[in-house]
Amino acid sequence: MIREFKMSWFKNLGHRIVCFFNRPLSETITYIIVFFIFCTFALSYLYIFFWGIIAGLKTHSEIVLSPFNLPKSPQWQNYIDVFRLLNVNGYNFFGMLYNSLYFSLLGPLIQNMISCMLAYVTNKYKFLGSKFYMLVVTVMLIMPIYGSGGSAYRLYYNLGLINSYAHIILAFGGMNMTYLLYHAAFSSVSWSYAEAAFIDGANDYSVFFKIMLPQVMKIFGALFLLAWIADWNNYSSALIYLPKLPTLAGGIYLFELDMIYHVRRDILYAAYMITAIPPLILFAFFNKTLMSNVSLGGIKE
Amino acid sequence: MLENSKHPKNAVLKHKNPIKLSRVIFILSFILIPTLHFAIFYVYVNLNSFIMAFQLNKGGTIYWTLENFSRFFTEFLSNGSEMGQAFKNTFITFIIQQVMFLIGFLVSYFLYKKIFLYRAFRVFFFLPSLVAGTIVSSIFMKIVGVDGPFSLLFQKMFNLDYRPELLADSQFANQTVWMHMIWLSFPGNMVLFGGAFGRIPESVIESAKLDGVNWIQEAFRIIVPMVWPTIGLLLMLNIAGIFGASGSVFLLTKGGYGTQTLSNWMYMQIYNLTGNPGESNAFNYMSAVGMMLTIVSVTLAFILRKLSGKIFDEVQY
Repeated sequence: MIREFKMSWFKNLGHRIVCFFNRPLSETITYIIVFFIFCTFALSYLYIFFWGIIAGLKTHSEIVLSPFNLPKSPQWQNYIDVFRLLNVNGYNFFGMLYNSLYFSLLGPLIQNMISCMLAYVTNKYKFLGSKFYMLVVTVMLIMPIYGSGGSAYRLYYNLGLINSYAHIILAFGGMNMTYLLYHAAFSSVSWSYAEAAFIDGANDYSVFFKIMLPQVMKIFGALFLLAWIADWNNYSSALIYLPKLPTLAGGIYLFELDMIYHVRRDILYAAYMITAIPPLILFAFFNKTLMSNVSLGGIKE
Repeated sequence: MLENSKHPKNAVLKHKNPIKLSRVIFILSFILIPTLHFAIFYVYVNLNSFIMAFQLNKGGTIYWTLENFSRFFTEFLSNGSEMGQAFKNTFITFIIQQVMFLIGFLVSYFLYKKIFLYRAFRVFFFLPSLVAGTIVSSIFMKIVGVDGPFSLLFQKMFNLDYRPELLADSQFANQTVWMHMIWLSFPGNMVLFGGAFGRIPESVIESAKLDGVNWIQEAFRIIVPMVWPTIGLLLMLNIAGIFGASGSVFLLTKGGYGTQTLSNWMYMQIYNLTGNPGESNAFNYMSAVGMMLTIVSVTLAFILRKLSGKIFDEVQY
């Protein structure tokens, strides 16, 4: 079994190498140059992780004095100390993990569901104003309004959404880019399934939840995962709206600022690397879902 | 027929009463929350921002004034001002973004053409998007720090007698921020481009190959026109977001050493807020600046639309 697998792997590799060189000379040269450029960038991205992991195994003075050398003796304890020493505004690692999971899981789930439902109803049902949403979202995207951050902050402050779990309420807006993606997805879903279900006596809700939603579930999954990764890593909103309710992304950045005085950059990098693990695991399992299910706009005939 | 089959009110239920209460409730239940959200968090916020641009808080009393606008023009026109610097850097960043958009397209094209190790590249190129910008920036800052290889490179290139701290030296800070941006935006929008390329019928590419087209012709004469709805939309969004163009200025320099951009300047107004946001005049000034930018950006969008003629007509949303 293993031998067969190895044989097919080598055959495939051989085929790919033959294909690589089975091109006109100028094209082969282009592909070789592009290949080396790709290798350079890929290695540089890998180096971030390598450097981060190694830095998390050093002592603080090693990071400061010899940042590009390997640690003399790996400090595995750093990766355990993170859970004990990381503390931002009264939240330890697990407190920040809870906040991160709360905002990054619940937020994208609500936001995707609302966008999906709005896109479905405005795409498949004709009612007064059904075209209004597409128009508004398009105008919002191609004509962004600048400088309203201050006004938004005042409103959130007055509504008690700053440093509050109620901040999740902002996820209930469905009129954004995601709406366009779902609208495009529903455009390619045939209505005949719904017609058949209506004839069988199904109501509008069951048609949506049992027939139409499952048909865009792959896109839903991909968009949810992309939004989850973005929210998990979102430091900018977290820093201004949730500084006293820190998520891991925002909290570790605040910890980094604090570290200047606490001289424990070893803990900082260990914390950064631990935070990077969940998205990496998720990507390892779902990279095909992420990379092949999202599309926008059609193909011209 | 297609139009009818798309809408159940016309199609399935055309023999029944079209205004069915249950259907009205269904539609309302799907649109009510996003509509309310839009009214409060978009319409109200932006209207309030418009009003705030004409207001100032002096000792707890709100005054109607044009002072915010006059301050903007004074700062914008004065030599070496932060606002002028922010405009300049934003435009340069925007131009770099457009170049990177083209490069991102080419990256997706070569991955689509299954360049050797394309699967591995696709995974590696996605890595920076998987981790927080704070992590990447923190490590990048170490790499470009005085002990890193880039500082040495710049020292040799510019024949300096010291190792420059690239992000804390106004001679190099901007270039370093742009270098960071170019480095991270190299893979481009792999998800949307990949999704669009994946839907191109294989037969079209095969027949083009039989006709003897080279890779440039294939990329720009076959693939670009076919996926234009996607490219056009992304390009349009890119251009519309001209004043939002900014690298990781906040994380790398916080806008210091001549690296300020407009979007970072606006972010810093909130980030640096101390005290009651209701009394902060910084927000009023920010609203006035934002209003001026919006007017320019909307004008640009209309001019672009007029000039481009049919180019964006076939963009699908």
